Amino acid sequence: MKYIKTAVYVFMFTSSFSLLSCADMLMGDEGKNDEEIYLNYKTKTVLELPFEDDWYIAAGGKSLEENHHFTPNRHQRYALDIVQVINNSGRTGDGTKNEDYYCFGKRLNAPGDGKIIAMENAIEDNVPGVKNTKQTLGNYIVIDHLNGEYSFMLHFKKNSIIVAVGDTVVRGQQVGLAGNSGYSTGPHLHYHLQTTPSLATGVGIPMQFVNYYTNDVFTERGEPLTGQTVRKN
Amino acid sequence: MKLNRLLFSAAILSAVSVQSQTTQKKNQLEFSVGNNWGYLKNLEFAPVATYDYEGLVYKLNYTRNSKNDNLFEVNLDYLSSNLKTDRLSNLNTDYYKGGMHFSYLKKVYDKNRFTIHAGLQSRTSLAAYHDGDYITFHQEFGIAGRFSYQINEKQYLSSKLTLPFMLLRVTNAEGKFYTLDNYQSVFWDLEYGYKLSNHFDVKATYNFNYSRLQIPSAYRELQHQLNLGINYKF
Repeated sequence: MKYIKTAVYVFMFTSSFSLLSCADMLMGDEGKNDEEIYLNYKTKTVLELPFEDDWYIAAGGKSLEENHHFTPNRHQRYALDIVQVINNSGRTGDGTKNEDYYCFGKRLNAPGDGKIIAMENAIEDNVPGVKNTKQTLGNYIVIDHLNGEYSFMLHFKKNSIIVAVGDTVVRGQQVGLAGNSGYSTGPHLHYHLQTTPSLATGVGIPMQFVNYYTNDVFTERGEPLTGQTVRKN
Repeated sequence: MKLNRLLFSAAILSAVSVQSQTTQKKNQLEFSVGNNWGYLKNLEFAPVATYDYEGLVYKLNYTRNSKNDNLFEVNLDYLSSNLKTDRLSNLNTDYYKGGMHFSYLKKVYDKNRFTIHAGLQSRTSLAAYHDGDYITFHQEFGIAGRFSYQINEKQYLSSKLTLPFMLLRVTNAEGKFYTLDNYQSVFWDLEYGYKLSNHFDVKATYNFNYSRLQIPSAYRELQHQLNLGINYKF
Protein backbone atom coordinates (compact mmCIF):
# COMPACT_ATOMS: atom_id res chain seq x y z
CA MET A 1 0.00 0.00 0.00
CA LYS A 2 2.82 2.34 0.91
CA TYR A 3 4.46 1.73 -2.47
CA ILE A 4 1.24 2.48 -4.38
CA LYS A 5 0.88 5.75 -2.51
CA THR A 6 4.46 6.75 -3.25
CA ALA A 7 4.09 5.77 -6.91
CA VAL A 8 0.94 7.87 -7.27
CA TYR A 9 2.68 10.92 -5.78
CA VAL A 10 5.80 10.49 -7.90
CA PHE A 11 3.83 9.97 -11.11
CA MET A 12 1.60 12.98 -10.60
CA PHE A 13 4.28 15.44 -9.62
CA THR A 14 6.80 14.38 -12.27
CA SER A 15 4.06 14.53 -14.93
CA SER A 16 3.10 18.04 -13.83
CA PHE A 17 6.71 19.20 -13.86
CA SER A 18 7.35 17.71 -17.32
CA LEU A 19 4.27 19.31 -18.82
CA LEU A 20 5.09 22.71 -17.35
CA SER A 21 8.55 22.70 -18.86
CA CYS A 22 7.85 21.78 -22.48
CA ALA A 23 5.78 24.68 -23.83
CA ASP A 24 8.13 25.48 -26.74
CA MET A 25 8.11 21.92 -28.00
CA LEU A 26 4.33 21.60 -27.71
CA MET A 27 3.65 24.90 -29.49
CA GLY A 28 5.94 24.05 -32.43
CA ASP A 29 7.52 26.28 -35.06
CA GLU A 30 4.57 26.84 -37.41
CA GLY A 31 3.93 30.54 -37.91
CA LYS A 32 7.53 31.71 -37.53
CA ASN A 33 7.66 32.17 -41.31
CA ASP A 34 4.38 34.12 -41.15
CA GLU A 35 5.92 36.42 -38.54
CA GLU A 36 8.99 36.95 -40.70
CA ILE A 37 6.81 37.72 -43.73
CA TYR A 38 4.76 40.19 -41.71
CA LEU A 39 7.79 42.03 -40.40
CA ASN A 40 10.41 41.92 -43.10
CA TYR A 41 9.12 40.65 -46.45
CA LYS A 42 10.40 42.50 -49.52
CA THR A 43 8.34 41.81 -52.61
CA LYS A 44 10.56 40.18 -55.22
CA THR A 45 8.41 40.99 -58.24
CA VAL A 46 8.58 44.55 -59.52
CA LEU A 47 4.92 45.52 -59.07
CA GLU A 48 3.09 48.55 -60.38
CA LEU A 49 -0.49 49.48 -59.64
CA PRO A 50 -2.68 47.46 -62.04
CA PHE A 51 -4.93 50.29 -63.23
CA GLU A 52 -4.93 53.73 -64.81
CA ASP A 53 -5.90 57.04 -63.13
CA ASP A 54 -6.86 57.53 -59.44
CA TRP A 55 -8.25 54.58 -57.48
CA TYR A 56 -9.20 54.40 -53.83
CA ILE A 57 -8.02 51.72 -51.38
CA ALA A 58 -11.23 50.49 -49.72
CA ALA A 59 -9.36 47.78 -47.80
CA GLY A 60 -5.62 47.30 -47.29
CA GLY A 61 -3.09 47.09 -44.49
CA LYS A 62 -1.65 44.74 -41.94
CA SER A 63 -4.23 44.36 -39.20
CA LEU A 64 -7.86 43.38 -38.80
CA GLU A 65 -8.76 46.98 -37.90
CA GLU A 66 -7.41 48.24 -41.22
CA ASN A 67 -8.12 45.35 -43.51
CA HIS A 68 -11.03 42.90 -43.33
CA HIS A 69 -8.98 40.38 -45.36
CA PHE A 70 -6.45 39.99 -42.53
CA THR A 71 -8.51 37.26 -40.84
CA PRO A 72 -9.42 34.40 -41.36
CA ASN A 73 -7.97 33.46 -44.76
CA ARG A 74 -4.22 33.25 -44.48
CA HIS A 75 -3.59 33.37 -48.25
CA GLN A 76 -5.19 36.81 -48.68
CA ARG A 77 -4.01 38.38 -45.42
CA TYR A 78 -2.65 41.54 -47.11
CA ALA A 79 -5.19 41.77 -49.96
CA LEU A 80 -6.42 45.05 -51.38
CA ASP A 81 -9.96 45.99 -52.40
CA ILE A 82 -9.76 48.90 -54.79
CA VAL A 83 -12.47 51.10 -56.31
CA GLN A 84 -12.68 54.41 -58.09
CA VAL A 85 -13.98 57.36 -56.10
CA ILE A 86 -14.93 60.74 -57.55
CA ASN A 87 -16.10 63.57 -55.27
CA ASN A 88 -16.12 61.17 -52.28
CA SER A 89 -18.44 58.70 -53.97
CA GLY A 90 -17.79 55.45 -55.79
CA ARG A 91 -20.84 55.77 -58.03
CA THR A 92 -23.42 57.88 -59.72
CA GLY A 93 -27.16 57.19 -59.68
CA ASP A 94 -28.79 54.95 -57.10
CA GLY A 95 -26.15 52.21 -57.25
CA THR A 96 -28.53 49.46 -58.30
CA LYS A 97 -26.66 48.81 -61.58
CA ASN A 98 -23.00 47.89 -62.01
CA GLU A 99 -22.73 50.63 -64.60
CA ASP A 100 -23.45 53.17 -61.84
CA TYR A 101 -20.00 52.47 -60.35
CA TYR A 102 -17.05 54.42 -61.73
CA CYS A 103 -14.68 51.45 -61.77
CA PHE A 104 -17.00 49.02 -63.57
CA GLY A 105 -15.55 48.18 -66.98
CA LYS A 106 -12.29 50.07 -66.38
CA ARG A 107 -9.04 48.69 -67.73
CA LEU A 108 -6.97 46.41 -65.48
CA ASN A 109 -3.31 45.60 -66.13
CA ALA A 110 -0.85 42.93 -65.10
CA PRO A 111 0.93 44.30 -62.00
CA GLY A 112 4.14 42.45 -62.83
CA ASP A 113 5.79 40.20 -65.39
CA GLY A 114 4.77 36.54 -65.37
CA LYS A 115 2.74 33.74 -66.83
CA ILE A 116 -1.01 33.17 -66.59
CA ILE A 117 -1.55 29.84 -64.84
CA ALA A 118 -5.29 29.93 -64.03
CA MET A 119 -8.30 31.95 -65.05
CA GLU A 120 -12.10 32.08 -65.28
CA ASN A 121 -13.97 34.40 -67.59
CA ALA A 122 -17.60 33.24 -67.90
CA ILE A 123 -19.21 34.09 -64.58
CA GLU A 124 -22.09 36.56 -64.58
CA ASP A 125 -21.59 39.87 -62.85
CA ASN A 126 -23.64 40.22 -59.69
CA VAL A 127 -26.44 42.65 -59.08
CA PRO A 128 -24.88 45.19 -56.66
CA GLY A 129 -25.45 44.10 -53.08
CA VAL A 130 -25.87 40.39 -53.93
CA LYS A 131 -22.81 38.14 -53.54
CA ASN A 132 -22.12 34.96 -55.48
CA THR A 133 -21.33 32.55 -52.65
CA LYS A 134 -20.72 29.54 -54.91
CA GLN A 135 -18.10 30.94 -57.30
CA THR A 136 -16.33 33.17 -54.83
CA LEU A 137 -13.37 34.22 -57.00
CA GLY A 138 -15.65 35.23 -59.85
CA ASN A 139 -13.79 35.92 -63.08
CA TYR A 140 -10.12 35.92 -62.19
CA ILE A 141 -6.55 35.41 -63.28
CA VAL A 142 -3.55 34.00 -61.41
CA ILE A 143 -0.12 35.17 -62.54
CA ASP A 144 2.94 33.09 -61.70
CA HIS A 145 5.79 35.57 -61.37
CA LEU A 146 8.25 32.67 -61.59
CA ASN A 147 9.96 33.62 -58.33
CA GLY A 148 7.68 32.04 -55.72
CA GLU A 149 5.13 34.86 -55.87
CA TYR A 150 1.64 34.50 -57.34
CA SER A 151 -0.72 37.40 -58.10
CA PHE A 152 -4.48 36.88 -57.73
CA MET A 153 -6.74 39.44 -59.47
CA LEU A 154 -10.45 38.79 -58.82
CA HIS A 155 -13.98 39.88 -59.76
CA PHE A 156 -13.37 40.81 -63.42
CA LYS A 157 -16.30 41.72 -65.65
CA LYS A 158 -17.74 38.72 -67.47
CA ASN A 159 -15.90 37.87 -70.71
CA SER A 160 -13.56 40.83 -70.31
CA ILE A 161 -10.33 38.90 -69.69
CA ILE A 162 -8.17 39.03 -72.81
CA VAL A 163 -5.34 36.70 -71.77
CA ALA A 164 -5.34 32.91 -71.59
CA VAL A 165 -3.68 30.23 -69.48
CA GLY A 166 -0.10 29.82 -70.69
CA ASP A 167 0.24 33.41 -71.93
CA THR A 168 3.19 35.45 -70.81
CA VAL A 169 2.28 38.93 -69.60
CA VAL A 170 4.41 41.96 -68.92
CA ARG A 171 3.94 44.67 -66.30
CA GLY A 172 1.33 47.21 -67.44
CA GLN A 173 -0.19 44.98 -70.11
CA GLN A 174 -3.99 45.06 -70.17
CA VAL A 175 -5.52 41.80 -68.93
CA GLY A 176 -9.22 42.63 -68.57
CA LEU A 177 -11.85 44.97 -67.15
CA ALA A 178 -13.00 45.57 -63.59
CA GLY A 179 -16.29 43.90 -62.72
CA ASN A 180 -18.51 42.57 -60.00
CA SER A 181 -18.37 38.77 -60.26
CA GLY A 182 -17.91 36.27 -57.43
CA TYR A 183 -18.04 37.07 -53.71
CA SER A 184 -18.46 40.80 -54.29
CA THR A 185 -21.18 43.25 -53.36
CA GLY A 186 -20.12 45.95 -55.81
CA PRO A 187 -17.65 46.50 -58.64
CA HIS A 188 -14.06 46.52 -57.41
CA LEU A 189 -10.69 44.92 -57.94
CA HIS A 190 -9.43 42.44 -55.36
CA TYR A 191 -5.70 41.95 -55.59
CA HIS A 192 -3.33 39.91 -53.47
CA LEU A 193 0.01 38.14 -53.65
CA GLN A 194 0.72 34.74 -52.11
CA THR A 195 3.45 32.13 -51.87
CA THR A 196 1.84 29.26 -53.82
CA PRO A 197 -0.91 29.03 -56.46
CA SER A 198 -3.14 27.19 -53.94
CA LEU A 199 -5.69 28.90 -51.72
CA ALA A 200 -5.25 26.07 -49.21
CA THR A 201 -1.48 26.22 -48.80
CA GLY A 202 -0.56 29.72 -49.94
CA VAL A 203 0.55 32.28 -47.39
CA GLY A 204 -0.35 35.88 -48.12
CA ILE A 205 2.58 38.26 -48.62
CA PRO A 206 2.69 42.06 -48.42
CA MET A 207 2.77 43.80 -51.81
CA GLN A 208 5.18 46.69 -52.28
CA PHE A 209 4.39 48.63 -55.43
CA VAL A 210 6.89 50.94 -57.07
CA ASN A 211 6.60 54.45 -58.46
CA TYR A 212 3.09 55.60 -57.63
CA TYR A 213 1.34 58.54 -56.02
CA THR A 214 -0.32 58.26 -52.61
CA ASN A 215 -2.78 61.13 -52.10
CA ASP A 216 -0.78 63.01 -54.78
CA VAL A 217 2.56 62.42 -53.04
CA PHE A 218 5.11 60.36 -54.95
CA THR A 219 5.92 56.96 -53.40
CA GLU A 220 8.98 55.15 -54.72
CA ARG A 221 8.09 51.87 -53.03
CA GLY A 222 5.19 51.30 -50.68
CA GLU A 223 2.22 49.30 -49.46
CA PRO A 224 -1.15 51.02 -50.07
CA LEU A 225 -3.37 51.35 -47.02
CA THR A 226 -7.10 51.76 -46.44
CA GLY A 227 -8.30 55.28 -47.21
CA GLN A 228 -5.51 56.22 -49.59
CA THR A 229 -6.06 57.41 -53.14
CA VAL A 230 -3.36 55.99 -55.37
CA ARG A 231 -2.28 56.49 -58.96
CA LYS A 232 0.56 54.94 -60.86
CA ASN A 233 3.30 57.22 -62.14
CA MET B 1 -9.53 42.71 -11.56
CA LYS B 2 -10.40 43.67 -7.97
CA LEU B 3 -13.72 41.86 -8.33
CA ASN B 4 -11.90 38.78 -9.61
CA ARG B 5 -9.59 38.77 -6.59
CA LEU B 6 -12.54 39.23 -4.29
CA LEU B 7 -14.32 36.22 -5.77
CA PHE B 8 -11.15 34.20 -5.58
CA SER B 9 -10.72 35.08 -1.90
CA ALA B 10 -14.39 34.40 -1.18
CA ALA B 11 -14.12 30.90 -2.63
CA ILE B 12 -11.27 30.11 -0.27
CA LEU B 13 -12.50 31.85 2.85
CA SER B 14 -16.01 30.46 2.65
CA ALA B 15 -14.53 26.98 2.88
CA VAL B 16 -13.50 27.47 6.48
CA SER B 17 -16.92 28.39 7.77
CA VAL B 18 -18.77 25.18 7.16
CA GLN B 19 -20.37 22.64 9.46
CA SER B 20 -19.72 18.94 9.69
CA GLN B 21 -22.37 16.36 8.83
CA THR B 22 -22.38 12.62 8.41
CA THR B 23 -24.37 11.27 5.46
CA GLN B 24 -23.08 10.04 2.08
CA LYS B 25 -24.04 12.56 -0.65
CA LYS B 26 -24.83 11.85 -4.30
CA ASN B 27 -24.46 15.30 -5.81
CA GLN B 28 -21.51 17.64 -5.80
CA LEU B 29 -21.39 21.24 -6.90
CA GLU B 30 -18.01 22.87 -7.12
CA PHE B 31 -17.07 26.46 -7.78
CA SER B 32 -13.47 27.30 -8.37
CA VAL B 33 -11.37 30.22 -9.44
CA GLY B 34 -7.87 29.92 -10.73
CA ASN B 35 -5.14 31.33 -12.82
CA ASN B 36 -4.54 30.31 -16.40
CA TRP B 37 -1.18 30.47 -18.13
CA GLY B 38 -1.74 29.85 -21.80
CA TYR B 39 -0.06 29.78 -25.20
CA LEU B 40 -1.94 30.06 -28.46
CA LYS B 41 -1.13 29.72 -32.13
CA ASN B 42 -3.94 30.32 -34.60
CA LEU B 43 -2.62 31.17 -38.04
CA GLU B 44 -6.13 31.70 -39.33
CA PHE B 45 -6.44 34.60 -36.94
CA ALA B 46 -2.99 36.19 -37.07
CA PRO B 47 0.55 35.53 -38.34
CA VAL B 48 1.84 34.94 -34.84
CA ALA B 49 3.78 31.78 -33.98
CA THR B 50 2.83 31.92 -30.29
CA TYR B 51 0.68 34.27 -28.30
CA ASP B 52 1.04 34.20 -24.51
CA TYR B 53 -1.89 34.89 -22.27
CA GLU B 54 -2.69 34.90 -18.60
CA GLY B 55 -5.93 35.46 -16.78
CA LEU B 56 -8.42 34.23 -14.27
CA VAL B 57 -10.52 31.20 -15.09
CA TYR B 58 -13.85 30.49 -13.40
CA LYS B 59 -15.29 27.01 -13.20
CA LEU B 60 -18.52 25.48 -12.08
CA ASN B 61 -18.66 21.70 -11.90
CA TYR B 62 -21.53 19.40 -11.10
CA THR B 63 -21.06 15.69 -10.40
CA ARG B 64 -23.77 13.12 -9.87
CA ASN B 65 -22.89 9.73 -8.36
CA SER B 66 -25.32 7.05 -9.44
CA LYS B 67 -26.43 4.07 -7.35
CA ASN B 68 -23.67 1.99 -8.97
CA ASP B 69 -21.15 4.71 -8.26
CA ASN B 70 -20.96 5.78 -11.90
CA LEU B 71 -20.26 9.48 -12.48
CA PHE B 72 -22.12 12.04 -14.54
CA GLU B 73 -20.09 15.26 -14.71
CA VAL B 74 -20.95 18.68 -16.12
CA ASN B 75 -18.29 21.39 -16.22
CA LEU B 76 -18.64 25.02 -17.18
CA ASP B 77 -15.67 27.34 -17.48
CA TYR B 78 -14.96 30.87 -18.56
CA LEU B 79 -11.73 32.66 -19.23
CA SER B 80 -11.11 36.30 -20.09
CA SER B 81 -7.65 37.37 -21.12
CA ASN B 82 -5.45 39.23 -23.60
CA LEU B 83 -3.31 37.59 -26.24
CA LYS B 84 0.17 39.06 -26.20
CA THR B 85 3.22 38.80 -28.36
CA ASP B 86 6.30 40.98 -27.96
CA ARG B 87 7.46 40.54 -31.53
CA LEU B 88 4.24 41.77 -33.19
CA SER B 89 2.80 43.78 -30.33
CA ASN B 90 0.40 45.69 -32.62
CA LEU B 91 -1.44 42.37 -33.11
CA ASN B 92 -2.13 41.91 -29.38
CA THR B 93 -5.82 41.41 -28.81
CA ASP B 94 -8.61 40.38 -26.44
CA TYR B 95 -9.39 36.71 -25.91
CA TYR B 96 -12.48 35.23 -24.30
CA LYS B 97 -13.19 31.53 -24.01
CA GLY B 98 -16.07 29.59 -22.52
CA GLY B 99 -16.70 25.87 -22.37
CA MET B 100 -19.27 23.28 -21.40
CA HIS B 101 -18.25 19.66 -20.95
CA PHE B 102 -20.30 16.56 -20.20
CA SER B 103 -18.95 13.17 -19.24
CA TYR B 104 -20.40 9.87 -18.23
CA LEU B 105 -17.93 7.62 -16.45
CA LYS B 106 -18.58 4.05 -15.39
CA LYS B 107 -16.79 2.54 -12.40
CA VAL B 108 -14.42 -0.13 -13.66
CA TYR B 109 -12.13 -0.71 -10.66
CA ASP B 110 -12.43 -0.19 -6.92
CA LYS B 111 -9.87 -1.68 -4.56
CA ASN B 112 -7.54 -0.56 -1.81
CA ARG B 113 -8.89 3.02 -1.77
CA PHE B 114 -8.12 3.25 -5.48
CA THR B 115 -11.00 3.78 -7.91
CA ILE B 116 -11.04 4.00 -11.69
CA HIS B 117 -13.92 5.28 -13.80
CA ALA B 118 -13.92 5.25 -17.61
CA GLY B 119 -16.31 6.62 -20.19
CA LEU B 120 -16.99 9.29 -22.77
CA GLN B 121 -16.77 13.04 -22.77
CA SER B 122 -18.25 15.78 -24.92
CA ARG B 123 -16.47 19.14 -24.86
CA THR B 124 -17.99 22.28 -26.36
CA SER B 125 -16.06 25.52 -26.41
CA LEU B 126 -16.44 28.93 -27.94
CA ALA B 127 -13.59 31.42 -28.24
CA ALA B 128 -13.94 35.04 -29.31
CA TYR B 129 -11.00 37.18 -30.29
CA HIS B 130 -10.89 40.93 -30.61
CA ASP B 131 -14.38 41.72 -29.34
CA GLY B 132 -15.92 38.90 -31.36
CA ASP B 133 -14.57 39.87 -34.79
CA TYR B 134 -13.24 36.33 -35.04
CA ILE B 135 -14.86 33.34 -33.39
CA THR B 136 -14.02 29.65 -33.16
CA PHE B 137 -16.43 26.96 -32.07
CA HIS B 138 -15.06 23.57 -31.10
CA GLN B 139 -17.09 20.46 -30.43
CA GLU B 140 -15.00 17.49 -29.35
CA PHE B 141 -15.86 13.93 -28.45
CA GLY B 142 -13.43 11.74 -26.59
CA ILE B 143 -12.76 9.00 -24.12
CA ALA B 144 -12.15 9.86 -20.51
CA GLY B 145 -10.90 8.17 -17.38
CA ARG B 146 -10.93 9.26 -13.77
CA PHE B 147 -8.50 7.82 -11.25
CA SER B 148 -9.21 8.49 -7.58
CA TYR B 149 -7.13 7.66 -4.56
CA GLN B 150 -8.30 8.13 -0.98
CA ILE B 151 -5.20 9.13 0.98
CA ASN B 152 -6.95 9.02 4.33
CA GLU B 153 -10.33 9.84 5.76
CA LYS B 154 -9.94 13.56 5.06
CA GLN B 155 -7.78 13.76 1.96
CA TYR B 156 -7.96 12.42 -1.57
CA LEU B 157 -6.32 12.73 -4.94
CA SER B 158 -8.18 12.49 -8.19
CA SER B 159 -7.02 12.71 -11.75
CA LYS B 160 -9.01 12.82 -14.96
CA LEU B 161 -7.56 12.20 -18.40
CA THR B 162 -9.54 12.98 -21.56
CA LEU B 163 -8.39 12.08 -25.05
CA PRO B 164 -10.63 13.53 -27.75
CA PHE B 165 -10.84 11.54 -30.98
CA MET B 166 -13.01 13.85 -33.07
CA LEU B 167 -13.31 17.60 -33.49
CA LEU B 168 -15.89 19.73 -35.27
CA ARG B 169 -14.33 23.15 -35.76
CA VAL B 170 -16.28 26.12 -37.05
CA THR B 171 -14.51 29.43 -37.62
CA ASN B 172 -15.17 32.55 -39.67
CA ALA B 173 -13.42 30.76 -42.54
CA GLU B 174 -14.98 27.29 -42.53
CA GLY B 175 -16.60 24.44 -40.65
CA LYS B 176 -14.91 21.03 -40.76
CA PHE B 177 -14.60 17.70 -38.97
CA TYR B 178 -11.17 16.49 -37.94
CA THR B 179 -10.08 13.13 -36.57
CA LEU B 180 -6.88 11.88 -34.98
CA ASP B 181 -5.01 12.14 -38.31
CA ASN B 182 -5.01 15.94 -38.01
CA TYR B 183 -6.14 16.60 -34.50
CA GLN B 184 -4.47 15.55 -31.29
CA SER B 185 -5.53 16.75 -27.92
CA VAL B 186 -5.23 15.87 -24.26
CA PHE B 187 -6.89 17.27 -21.16
CA TRP B 188 -5.55 16.25 -17.80
CA ASP B 189 -6.72 17.32 -14.36
CA LEU B 190 -5.06 16.58 -11.05
CA GLU B 191 -7.07 17.38 -7.95
CA TYR B 192 -6.22 17.39 -4.31
CA GLY B 193 -9.27 17.45 -2.05
CA TYR B 194 -9.61 17.98 1.66
CA LYS B 195 -12.83 17.02 3.35
CA LEU B 196 -14.06 19.70 5.72
CA SER B 197 -17.37 18.05 6.45
CA ASN B 198 -19.90 15.76 4.82
CA HIS B 199 -21.19 18.80 2.96
CA PHE B 200 -18.03 20.64 2.04
CA ASP B 201 -14.60 19.94 0.61
CA VAL B 202 -11.92 22.32 -0.53
CA LYS B 203 -9.99 21.46 -3.64
CA ALA B 204 -6.81 22.49 -5.37
CA THR B 205 -6.66 21.52 -9.01
CA TYR B 206 -4.07 21.62 -11.74
CA ASN B 207 -5.30 21.41 -15.35
CA PHE B 208 -3.19 20.71 -18.38
CA ASN B 209 -5.00 21.30 -21.66
CA TYR B 210 -3.33 20.84 -25.02
CA SER B 211 -4.74 20.82 -28.54
CA ARG B 212 -2.95 20.58 -31.86
CA LEU B 213 -4.56 20.86 -35.28
CA GLN B 214 -2.20 19.98 -38.11
CA ILE B 215 -3.51 21.98 -41.06
CA PRO B 216 -1.82 24.71 -43.15
CA SER B 217 -3.33 27.44 -40.95
CA ALA B 218 -2.06 25.67 -37.87
CA TYR B 219 -3.82 25.84 -34.53
CA ARG B 220 -2.24 24.93 -31.21
CA GLU B 221 -3.21 25.81 -27.68
CA LEU B 222 -1.58 24.94 -24.38
CA GLN B 223 -3.03 25.84 -21.00
CA HIS B 224 -1.79 25.36 -17.46
CA GLN B 225 -4.37 26.19 -14.84
CA LEU B 226 -4.17 26.24 -11.07
CA ASN B 227 -7.55 26.47 -9.37
CA LEU B 228 -8.80 26.63 -5.83
CA GLY B 229 -12.38 25.79 -5.15
CA ILE B 230 -15.06 24.78 -2.78
CA ASN B 231 -17.11 21.65 -3.27
CA TYR B 232 -20.65 21.41 -1.89
CA LYS B 233 -22.14 17.91 -1.51
CA PHE B 234 -25.85 17.33 -1.21
